[in-house]
Amino acid sequence: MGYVKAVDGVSLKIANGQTMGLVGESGCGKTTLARTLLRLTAPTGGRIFFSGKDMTKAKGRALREYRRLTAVVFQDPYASLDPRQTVRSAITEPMGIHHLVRSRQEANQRAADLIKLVGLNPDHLSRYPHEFSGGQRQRIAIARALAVTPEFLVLDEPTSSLDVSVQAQILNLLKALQRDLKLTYLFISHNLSVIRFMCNRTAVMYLGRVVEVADTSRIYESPKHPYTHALLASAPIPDPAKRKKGGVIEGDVPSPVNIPPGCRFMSRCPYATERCAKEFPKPVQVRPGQWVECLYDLDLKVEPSPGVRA
Amino acid sequence: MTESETHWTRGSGGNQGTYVQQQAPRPTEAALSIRGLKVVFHTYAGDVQALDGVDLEVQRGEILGLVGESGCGKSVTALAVAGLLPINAEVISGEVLLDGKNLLKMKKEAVRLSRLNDIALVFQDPMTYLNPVLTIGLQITEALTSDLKVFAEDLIAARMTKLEAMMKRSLTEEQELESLRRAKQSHNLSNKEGKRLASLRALDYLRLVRLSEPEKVLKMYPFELSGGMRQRAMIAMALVRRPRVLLADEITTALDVTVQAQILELLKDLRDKIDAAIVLITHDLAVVSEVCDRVAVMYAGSVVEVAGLVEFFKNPSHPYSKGLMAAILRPDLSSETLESIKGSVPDLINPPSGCRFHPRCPYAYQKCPESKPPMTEVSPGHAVTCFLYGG
Ligand SMILES: Nc1ncnc2c1ncn2[C@@H]1O[C@H](COP(=O)(O)OP(=O)(O)O)[C@@H](O)[C@H]1O
Ligand SMILES: [Mg+2]
Repeated sequence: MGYVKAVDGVSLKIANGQTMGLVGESGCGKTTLARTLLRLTAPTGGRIFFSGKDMTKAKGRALREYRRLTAVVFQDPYASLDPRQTVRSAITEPMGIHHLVRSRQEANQRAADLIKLVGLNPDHLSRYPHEFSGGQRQRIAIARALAVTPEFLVLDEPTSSLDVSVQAQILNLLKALQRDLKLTYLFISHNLSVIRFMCNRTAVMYLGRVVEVADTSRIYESPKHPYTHALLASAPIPDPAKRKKGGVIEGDVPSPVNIPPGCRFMSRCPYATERCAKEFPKPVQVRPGQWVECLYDLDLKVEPSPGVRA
Repeated sequence: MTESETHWTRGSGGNQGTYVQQQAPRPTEAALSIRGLKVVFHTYAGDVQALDGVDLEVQRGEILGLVGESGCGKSVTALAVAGLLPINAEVISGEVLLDGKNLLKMKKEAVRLSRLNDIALVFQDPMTYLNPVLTIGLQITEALTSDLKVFAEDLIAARMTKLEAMMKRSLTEEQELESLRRAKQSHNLSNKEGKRLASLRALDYLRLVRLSEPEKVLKMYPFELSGGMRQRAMIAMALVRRPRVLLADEITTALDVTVQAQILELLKDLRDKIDAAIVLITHDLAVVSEVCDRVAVMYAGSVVEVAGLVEFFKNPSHPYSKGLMAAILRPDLSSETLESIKGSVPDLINPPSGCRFHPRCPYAYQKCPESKPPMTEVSPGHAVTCFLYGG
């Protein structure tokens, strides 16, 4: 994967075989960004590069090839699978569309291989989606995404509707598949714990913009954007010794309809100044590989709020 | 004043409608206790054995976290307590005791009143329960005047406290105070006067749930509020009844993480102000850790473990709880590997025999499919239903 710049501002580069996380609250534009870089939505600015080639305006054969090399898994396995289609035909259909197989037998054989790859068994191929649990359906959706032998996979909240015990199974499966098939992932989630576990690099979005991108450990240990910091400070921690004590950020996520001039996070930012209302923050590289859209070089500490240790 | 009012003392002195907890010692008996509750849903596919003997107690002044994966029966438990089970549900056996009285055995009207006054339920999606064509102020006013007999005393007392706290009263205010004193004596409040007092009182409730600009919010319609504000409005409406038990079912699940943190803060704040028993229903152990005092873990229709918060996180004991704890990720720590629980939740039309967790349990042995393990106390206040610990 070369780099993506589907929106103005910060560029996202995803190295081969790595996972880029995209985190942010509902409606901030995570899915739009993903759809844009898959060329499912026309880009309104920025450019998309894939393996060095500009895909922003690709057409015809080049676009078809791009579509084959990319695939997506959505949050809701109930909605993404056709209830009238057997698992076999759900998995073999994309192979036909991209002319990847020469015969029905070959397609069925590959479907059997794929279903085993995602931890189900070939008996499942003749069943319908409603016969499966949420976790199993997500496995089927993953098998279907892999049917086109993609190199790049967008995982859009793939475990958000699953229970934790099942989420763990799916995350482990995705990690194993990435290792074995050398896949590159864009992993979208609103869950900071899941992003931390899955991603090498993490981009934080707020109201349609990537406001910070850095190696995941940097994002979690020394964030530079006040929004990144607020997200981390809000995330509930399953450890009574680290219970929060007040000090949570105020206000709601504003609607993307009325975007204020200047910094978009200004209305909720505890560090905002008058300058923030007027000046649009340009992306700045504050450290190697860490890009931030903030006018100030803030010293933000990530630590449990004062006086909470039990 | 009946006993139910004594634990609700209004703060004095031009207050902002906050409640001050009385210093009297709290009784130790549970505000709500559920014993052996079994509920079945009759469906075309067969009988769904949703609750398989739920045992649970909540004390006044505490937040109990009821946690478990989807379909384990958290919402059904809440609906059974609130008397809101759908018609295809049948309570097979068990007790729901509210301050010692069994709601499942009382006369219909008595149950209705108990539930109306003492149990409040808040859900994940406030939009379904708010009336879209009424302003928030009118909805709260309506809730307050729906049963004027129930609310009159509170409405009168709240207004009197405010008037009495004034340094200087105008003549009309003096007259108002006098007529309120009379109304209090005679237990008689006209509908019109009730409405007036209720609309004044509504503001107190919006302040109680810390809505910013409450005067503005009173005049707003539900669609004009953000998700977090709506959830606060719902909580305000639930608190109008001054419930003894507040059941909050996945109230932060649909909210963004920053807004969730605000609502959790509010819950902690309310715990100290309203002196009710709060049951926070969630699938998220991190949320439990942030606000609860105790934890009850449910699996496939029963409570499998109950413990104090710190004890639970230090020492989860049921094999299912251990599996859950190993499967959760933390935002504050990086981890290389993640454990998962094999298999998936059972079909409750044909649930596994004996301990319902046994097909997924790494420690299961011959006894587990044979009978249901009893609750065994492993340390004071920490109980587990698992044969590994006795029974
Ligand atoms: N109206 C209903 N009809 C049939 N089964 C139901 C109904 N409501 C709930 N159930 C079943 O009861 C069980 C418990 O559900 P619920 O309490 O909603 O779970 P939770 O809230 O823990 O996710 C599930 O198996 C569910 O399918
Ligand atoms: Mg539920």
